[in-house]
Amino acid sequence: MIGSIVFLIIFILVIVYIIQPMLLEKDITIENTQSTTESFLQRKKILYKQIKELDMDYQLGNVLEQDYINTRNDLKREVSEVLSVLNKK
Amino acid sequence: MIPVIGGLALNLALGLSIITIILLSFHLRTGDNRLYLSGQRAALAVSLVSFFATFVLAQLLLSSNFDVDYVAHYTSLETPTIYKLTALWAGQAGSLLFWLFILSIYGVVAILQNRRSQQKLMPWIMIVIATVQLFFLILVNFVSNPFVPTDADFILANGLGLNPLLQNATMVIHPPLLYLGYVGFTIPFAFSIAAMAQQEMNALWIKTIRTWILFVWLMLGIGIILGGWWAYQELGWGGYWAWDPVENASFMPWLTGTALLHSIMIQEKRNMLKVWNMTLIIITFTLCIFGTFLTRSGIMSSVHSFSASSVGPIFLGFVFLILIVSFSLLFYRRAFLYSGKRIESFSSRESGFLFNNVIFVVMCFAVFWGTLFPVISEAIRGTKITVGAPFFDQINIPIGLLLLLLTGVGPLLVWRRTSKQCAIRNFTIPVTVGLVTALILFLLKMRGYVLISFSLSSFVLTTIIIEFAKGIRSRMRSQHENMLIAFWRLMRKNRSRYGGYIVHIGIVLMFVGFTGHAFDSEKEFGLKVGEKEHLNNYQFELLRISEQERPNHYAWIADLRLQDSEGKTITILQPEKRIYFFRSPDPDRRQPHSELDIYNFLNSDIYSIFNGIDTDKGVAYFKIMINPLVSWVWIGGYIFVLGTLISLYPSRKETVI
Amino acid sequence: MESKNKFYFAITIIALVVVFWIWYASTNPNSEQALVTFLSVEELIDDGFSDRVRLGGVVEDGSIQVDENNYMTCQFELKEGDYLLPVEYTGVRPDLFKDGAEIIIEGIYRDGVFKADILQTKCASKYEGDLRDANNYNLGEVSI
Repeated sequence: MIGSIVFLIIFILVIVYIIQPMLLEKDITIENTQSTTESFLQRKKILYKQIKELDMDYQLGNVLEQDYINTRNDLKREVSEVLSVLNKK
Repeated sequence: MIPVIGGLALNLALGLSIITIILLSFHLRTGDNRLYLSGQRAALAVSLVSFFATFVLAQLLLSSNFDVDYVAHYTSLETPTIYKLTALWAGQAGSLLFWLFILSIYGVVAILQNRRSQQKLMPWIMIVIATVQLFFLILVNFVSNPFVPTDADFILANGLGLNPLLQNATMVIHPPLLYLGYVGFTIPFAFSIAAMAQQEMNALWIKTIRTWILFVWLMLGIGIILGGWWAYQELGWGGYWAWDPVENASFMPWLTGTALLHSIMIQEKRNMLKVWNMTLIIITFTLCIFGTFLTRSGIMSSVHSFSASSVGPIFLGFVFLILIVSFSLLFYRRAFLYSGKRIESFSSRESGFLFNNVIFVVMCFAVFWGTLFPVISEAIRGTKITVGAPFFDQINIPIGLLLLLLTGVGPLLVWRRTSKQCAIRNFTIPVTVGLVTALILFLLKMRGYVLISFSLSSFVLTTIIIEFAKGIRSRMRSQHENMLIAFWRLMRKNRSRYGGYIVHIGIVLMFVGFTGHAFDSEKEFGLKVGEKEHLNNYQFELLRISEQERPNHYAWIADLRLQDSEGKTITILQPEKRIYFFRSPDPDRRQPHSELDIYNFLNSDIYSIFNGIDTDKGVAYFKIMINPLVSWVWIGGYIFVLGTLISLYPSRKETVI
Repeated sequence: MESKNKFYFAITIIALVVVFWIWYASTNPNSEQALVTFLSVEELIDDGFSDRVRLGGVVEDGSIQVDENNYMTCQFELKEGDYLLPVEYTGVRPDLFKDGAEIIIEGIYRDGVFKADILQTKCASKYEGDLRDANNYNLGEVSI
């Protein structure tokens, strides 16, 4: 008996919890701009990491100088693209 | 009363999961955020109510409520408390509920962690999770309900008890870890479906999904290793891996998961290979569901086979549903996923990863083929062919060695392109070491796979050690640090790179352990007290046999003195023969069990099994096995875990610029 | 050839070689234990197979006899349907091997006796036992 009362209470609480937002009169807005900025920051971070790793590989002698310069320029170009997007925001 | 609440909770969760899907679908259609908020709450409620149902079952098991069929089947009054709890995943109904429980944990974490950063994908992520939950809720509600009352017309005084084989400390943690792995792939799958549906796949998405995959892959890996450890310690046939369908079921998603772990890095760094990564995620998740199906359907008669049951067709239906829906979506969104970039060079890290991917996938196919071969041959030719471990060994050893080779080659390749000069410079020493090892082994009269495996291992270890050495030396020179500090900082600044290398070291050591299998030797013999027997350079002498009555079993304990060739005593092995349920009036209920004793050296294990005792003649029968290098499998396993943890450890907020 | 095509070409070749290898191993197993035909006792007796085969069935009640001279060897009868097959097995007997146990054996049928070298018991079937059968309970153990 106590069991079913407990369950009934849980049931009602859950339903109220779910329905509550739909009783709001106006639609709500959820901020979304933050996530795109964050993802560009993440992209920037990954590119920087790649440059650092490339520098390390060059120091360790795993990359030839010409390849090193080419790849580094490619990566830098990508970084500047990301930065220009970020600056616009 | 309580069992009824458990059943009701499952009904409620089922209803809630349907409501979640409906609310979020309407949100996607109308864009009304109130529906989104309600849907999110409903999604959380499904998980919370599922937790509740699981706790109810745990409570019933702990309190030995034999009115519930499941409790009476898998526990008895004398089952130790901890094993009453582990009975939660001992049977089918309980383990399906347990699947749902873990999925609910993951679901709550994924929703709370990403609801802001992946706001656009969230509705879809929640829909996919709720759909998988719905599937398992249908199973536990209608097909295999753990709260079904006992169907007996008398009051049960006791339950049937838990299988003694499962009463082992490893079995407490092995299934949950395996499940953490299996179930966890639901989340990357949900993220992928959401990304394809919403056509948004940004850098943050990759970071999140990569961390999930790494964590889940680690859990699966530990689960598999612990399963092998359990088999080795408890089952008494002297091995840790038998290519049993249930083992294969967990191995297949691990293989594709490993491939995924490598190829997702290409997407992170180069923003390419998206179609391939999506394919791998879908396949891995499907294999997880398929693995649960293999374990639970009884389609395979496996050594540790579980029950035959009606869940089979439902599972198979779900597997096909996943495949059809996901691949249709993939095809529909192919333009979005196409990057237009290409791999620049044959000799780049990217191409190395791709080769490794192909081999992992093909190996997974080989395991799949062997696992399903009996079913296929029965369907096509009408005769059932059973597939033994030698078949899997024959196929997979060469493929595995190919992977081992790539483990060594990969780290020497850099991203985008590796020039010939650098490659030659980097490969000279490791290749020389490998060849010298091969020559020495050849002179030691080793041949074939053993020779190749050991030589490749030395090659791979050399490449990794050189990588570490170069890194340390460069830091010592440029930063003027001493060796230890240089080592520490090198690791800390490049966690994923050096963590990965450590994982590779672990894998190499495991390969060394696997190779030791070629030198196994064994002998079966009977001894009277005082008699001796020899195997290799060891002598075994039976000192005495004692008997003991313990709470839930009766045991004969043999004292076997182990001496080396010089007569020095190494240890006294104490294998046992036990009888569980020995007080039972019905002799059929009494269950013998051999508790083995293993003595570990670094280079070999002495494995002793007490087979039986002939009380009339006073003869005890033993099986002794000498298994070289087994310890290295477990050592490699520890290193594998350590390396993955290093890679997983979050890096501090980086302050670039 | 363009480098991209060359790349896919190489990957395809590797995949094909490995697939061919799987097919080759399936048709030319290097061990007689790799691929074994699973038969019913009826098929074995009627057709007189002489290859290595695998059988399933139940141990006939009271048929297990341990060899006088060698404890590791035993004789018993395997029952499947209405058919009984005399079996001789040498090796470690699994813990669950006893009268009425469901087992799988592998070996060669010769001169009316099946010589088995692999014997596996189906594990733990009684843990899925029938709750209505009071004999399944070890009431004697409640004393703790």
